[in-house]
Amino acid sequence: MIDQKKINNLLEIIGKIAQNYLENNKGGHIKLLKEKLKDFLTDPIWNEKLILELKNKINKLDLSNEDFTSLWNVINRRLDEDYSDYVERKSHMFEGKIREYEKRVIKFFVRAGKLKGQNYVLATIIGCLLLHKRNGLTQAQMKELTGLSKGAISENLKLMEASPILKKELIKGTRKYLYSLGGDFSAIASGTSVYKFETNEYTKKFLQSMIINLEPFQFRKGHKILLERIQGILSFLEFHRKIVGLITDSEFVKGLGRENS
Amino acid sequence: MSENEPFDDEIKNYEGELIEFLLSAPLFGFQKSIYYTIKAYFITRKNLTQDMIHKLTGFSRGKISQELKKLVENAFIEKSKISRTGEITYSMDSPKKAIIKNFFNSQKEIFDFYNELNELKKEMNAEKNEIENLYGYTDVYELLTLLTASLPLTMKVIEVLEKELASLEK
Repeated sequence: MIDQKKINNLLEIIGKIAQNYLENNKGGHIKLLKEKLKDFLTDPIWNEKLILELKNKINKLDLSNEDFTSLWNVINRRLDEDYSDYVERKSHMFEGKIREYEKRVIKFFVRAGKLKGQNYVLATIIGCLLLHKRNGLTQAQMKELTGLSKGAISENLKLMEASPILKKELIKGTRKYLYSLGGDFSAIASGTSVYKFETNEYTKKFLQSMIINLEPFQFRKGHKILLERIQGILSFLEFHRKIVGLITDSEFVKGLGRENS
Repeated sequence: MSENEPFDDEIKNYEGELIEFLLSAPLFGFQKSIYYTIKAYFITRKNLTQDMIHKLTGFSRGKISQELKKLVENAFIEKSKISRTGEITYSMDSPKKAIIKNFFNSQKEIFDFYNELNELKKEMNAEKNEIENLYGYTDVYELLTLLTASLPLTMKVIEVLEKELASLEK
């Protein structure tokens, strides 16, 4: 609880501010003063000494309204340029509260990935690449975003390189690579479908070649049961193909293509 | 020939190769863990006792017992026989059914995440005026919109998986 005496002191100052404001800004609404004052008292930006220094220096220039407008245009341009530079330099760093949302979405990918058998690092990388699909990410940027070790990131990117989903481009004039999931969501979905069909085909071939390799051992203990079980997995692959087909031909995936055409 | 008989070495080598493949191929949704290794052995063997799993994997009996309990609870395997000495044989009838069940379970859990994603989107909508000009807003919001919009497709996949499981049960 704040001491009433202290509150009275503050209210005395507030009274003077309000009086000055209403006299100097004829017709100025008190609501505007309230908003400005609250912002001044609560936003940490106003604790920045440089802002006060800037204000003092500009006040000393004793500018006319016209001069101030031209100065403000120059300041405005400089702020825009600085912001563009920052975004370019830190294009992987989302701003303020968006970072929190980003982390929560990535957590979703980690949990969903775990259910699909993906490890934590791989699921985190996929989440990051989906969120940063506009600019892509370097390994160093992924490290900064996730706090994962360089080795773990590099190892999992190598795993992903086997799929057509991941795009890797050398950044001109550097030895760094830019990783991305290759374009818009439609392209990602289509790349994922191709990859799933290819994985299905590869698995089928692996199992079929194992059946052939097992042939010379048909009278050995375990042959019959292992063969039956491999046939069972092959039967699953047929079903898996149907599911991938259902996803690829779904309205949802087709809609992604239409949105981008 | 009994389904519980040990495999000859040549067959065991191929089995080892298959287990490794099942654990690493992303298509099956398995992970390199004790739980999934035991599950993979049920896919190749059908019937196993705790002792057989111990000999095949070298995992401790305590750990095997815990994982078997989970596999039974999740209905991937069932107790099919108890010997006179009390030894239990566990069985996985169909590898196809087991792998589909794995997918079904994960899709169902993912389905539960949709509520959370919708909540997240609602929060962003509520704060739109303050955050929409922040760098990264569009990227996060676009992805969230896409994820939430995929709900009907996930439901359709769950439905197809459920039907297939029901037909395999028959």
